[in-house]
Amino acid sequence: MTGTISDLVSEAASDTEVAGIEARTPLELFWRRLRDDRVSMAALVFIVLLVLLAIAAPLVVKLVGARPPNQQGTQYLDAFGTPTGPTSKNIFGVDELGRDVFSRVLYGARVSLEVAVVATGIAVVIGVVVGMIAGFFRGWVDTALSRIMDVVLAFPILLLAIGLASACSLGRGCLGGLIKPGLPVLILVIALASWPYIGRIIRGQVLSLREKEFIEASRSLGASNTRIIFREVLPNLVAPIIVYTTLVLPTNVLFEAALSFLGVGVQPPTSSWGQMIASAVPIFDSAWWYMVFPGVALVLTVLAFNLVGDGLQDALNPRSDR
Amino acid sequence: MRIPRALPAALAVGATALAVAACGSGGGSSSSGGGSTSSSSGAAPAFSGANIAVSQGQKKGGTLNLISAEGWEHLDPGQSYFQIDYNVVYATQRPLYGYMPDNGKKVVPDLAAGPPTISKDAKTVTVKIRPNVKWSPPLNRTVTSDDVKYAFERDFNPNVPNAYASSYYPIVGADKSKGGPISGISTPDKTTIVFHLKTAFGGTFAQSLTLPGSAAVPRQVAASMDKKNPTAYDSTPTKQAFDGPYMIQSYNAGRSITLVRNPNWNASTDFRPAYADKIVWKAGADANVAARQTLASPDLLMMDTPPAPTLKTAYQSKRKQLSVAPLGDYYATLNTQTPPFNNVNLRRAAVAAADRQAYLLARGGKLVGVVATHFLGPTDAAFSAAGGNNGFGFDFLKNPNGDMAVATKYMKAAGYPSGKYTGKQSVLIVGSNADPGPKEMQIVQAGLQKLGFKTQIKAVPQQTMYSKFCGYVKAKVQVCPTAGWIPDFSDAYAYLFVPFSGKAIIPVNNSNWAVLNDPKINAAMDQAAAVTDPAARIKAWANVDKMITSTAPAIPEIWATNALLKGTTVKGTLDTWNDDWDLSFSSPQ
Repeated sequence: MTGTISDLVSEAASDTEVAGIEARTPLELFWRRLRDDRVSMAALVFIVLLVLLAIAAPLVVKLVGARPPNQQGTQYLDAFGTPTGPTSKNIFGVDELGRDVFSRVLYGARVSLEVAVVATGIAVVIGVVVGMIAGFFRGWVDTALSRIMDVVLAFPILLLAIGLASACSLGRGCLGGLIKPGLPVLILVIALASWPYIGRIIRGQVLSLREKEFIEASRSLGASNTRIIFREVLPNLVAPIIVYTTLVLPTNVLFEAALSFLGVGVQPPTSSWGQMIASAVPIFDSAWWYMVFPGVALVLTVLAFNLVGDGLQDALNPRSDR
Repeated sequence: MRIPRALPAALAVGATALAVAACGSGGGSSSSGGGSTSSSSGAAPAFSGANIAVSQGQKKGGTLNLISAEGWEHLDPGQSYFQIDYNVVYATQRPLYGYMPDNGKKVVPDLAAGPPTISKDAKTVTVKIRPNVKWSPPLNRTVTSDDVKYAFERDFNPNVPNAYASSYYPIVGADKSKGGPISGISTPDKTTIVFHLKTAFGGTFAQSLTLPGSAAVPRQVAASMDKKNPTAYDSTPTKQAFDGPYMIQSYNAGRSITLVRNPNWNASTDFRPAYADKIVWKAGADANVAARQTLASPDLLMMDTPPAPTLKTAYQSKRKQLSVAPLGDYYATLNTQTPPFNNVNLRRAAVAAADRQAYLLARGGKLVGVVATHFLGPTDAAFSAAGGNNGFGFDFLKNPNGDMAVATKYMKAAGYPSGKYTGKQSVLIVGSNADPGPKEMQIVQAGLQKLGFKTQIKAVPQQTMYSKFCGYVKAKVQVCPTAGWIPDFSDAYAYLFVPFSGKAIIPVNNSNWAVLNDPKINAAMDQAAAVTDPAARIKAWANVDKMITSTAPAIPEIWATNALLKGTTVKGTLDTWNDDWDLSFSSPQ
């Protein structure tokens, strides 16, 4: 029985002379397109490596023979208190307290990635939910939610972030201990600042999707709103969600660095790239390594995420011109 | 008790660095005075009536140009309490006494005609003022003892918030006067003023007359302004009456100030040479830019401490443009009234675990001073009696890099047999957010974490640190690592009383950051303040220092010095008492 069917299929194939062309799922198509984009692949490899290095930071530090990131050492400062440069003991040099810059950059990657990933995750969830509700139900719901997004987008978010971060940076934090000082404040602020970008895009997508024939077909078959939202609309939003997530991520890496640079980010002695760059500014003349290494790490990370984001967009949406 | 500015790593200098100033000053600036510790053996006032000018070939005339990052806070002599402000106030006003720039220990009469007369019971101090000092136009009249009397009355006026009057002026009836007449001050004639004190405080009181709070202020000019709160005498400094060599011609708060000669000033009545005809001071510059500009210019004087990197450059290649003056001490206070550091052994353990060398390097290393081992600094007469650089030999202060074995010993003594803190109390560390504050907070944090303490860091602006945290007793901040102290005048009382006596604790703007209130230490300070014999006084204060150091209310960080930059040809004279360029002794050429 099976034999006849496959015979029929192959006959049909040879009949129409499309032999050699296999049916490909959208995922396969996407992967092929992405694989051909060498720049994006290189960036992706960099990101994977970075994530692995960040997760295995304590191990890597041990393997390299560097000191733990918070260990101070006056012996690595000169008589004027100026840090000494790269040596075999401190391959990236030391900072103003004699701490090893290599292990601090490595541990800084942990902070950057953790904050960026978690904050972006929260922002995406909020953005998708709000965007879908606004776009799907339209009317006054849409008006209200869209105005809220407008307000958040119009807000001087950096100033709000500085204020909120310093207000919540002491003792048990704010909102009765809900937002604890340090990382949680940072994550909250960044998530708060970035969800409307996702929300707006999702809303626009949903607005056009809900008018499509397959939604109307589903509705005429008597599907409920919940079913339409989760079974029909959401799967069609996967592509934009992935693309915009990868584009918001690097922005949030930068945002974290900016907040840390301004001194409202992670609490010392935890290292963060922005904080390192900030403390390196006054001594750049005499200790270039202190700014260059975290700076390069930051640039490469942001660049890699942006390239991957672009690559994903091209691969998922091949219509756009390169 | 002026609080040092938190500036980008002051280059502090110990005995070695004084050589820098000495050899670097050439014919230009005066050598720094910190090296002359041995010259003054007595702690009691060493008064001299001589009008000596510090001469390095300065010439009269020209315009002196100054630059600074920081601006002015209070130019009212009654409120002025800040290095930057003192520069202007001491050039425009005349307190009863002052210091020659090259000797921060030797008191010289300024408005006073000679040394004060202190009664045997040390409760009455009589000062004769010069009969021929005149106020600037438009007042144009002679300065009288009533002007001095009014100055003291307004020091106690709530509209003229004075930071030290209550500490140094225990005049009979002053605390209730609120700006009105004070019963303990009398003026028998136009050139005599008599102070009646509540306690035998005469010796110390006489020393404190070098502060600008004793500078005469004419009632007819200031009285109406002083009715405002705060007084307009401070906000409109150009309207003040001046008896110093200069008058304030124009003032732009935080930006610029111009001083011109006071036409009524008579050089024969003053020890200041007042070389320049005009002084133009621009503030609000970026510290790095100002420092580079000064190094490249012929005639600029930079009034702030330059950032450490510039200072290092100056030391390496432009040493002649670098001068150094002793400053005061920096220490990390441990709150003695709040757990966990209400336990003396935990405090000693914290001191023992501290890497004090790291504090020195954080401020600029080799050129910024020496690691401190106790609280009386090298500028004080009692310094050698207090063990000098080596201190009293307490084991918790022996190793400048910290000693974990000693720390563990004290942790055990405090009831933590593992040598680690196991209590629940977390430690709040508050410091200045300006360099080197964050570094110092992390250094103290690293030491405490080694002992098992859970710590939290809060970086705030320097002003907020004093007003809302470290100087606000109710805030109960456990550790203040960026605190510092410069004595108000050359006496151990000014060095130790306000920061460490329980009697000096006030709820707001408190400067006893460790909230140390030990009855024995309080009593010892009171007794030492009453001693008039110089040798006995030195011994008494050295003993007070020993008692304080033993209870470990703070981690002594460094005995600091202030390094300053000048242009290539300007003849800057460093005032070793105010630790800054002296406007009246510097000349543009």
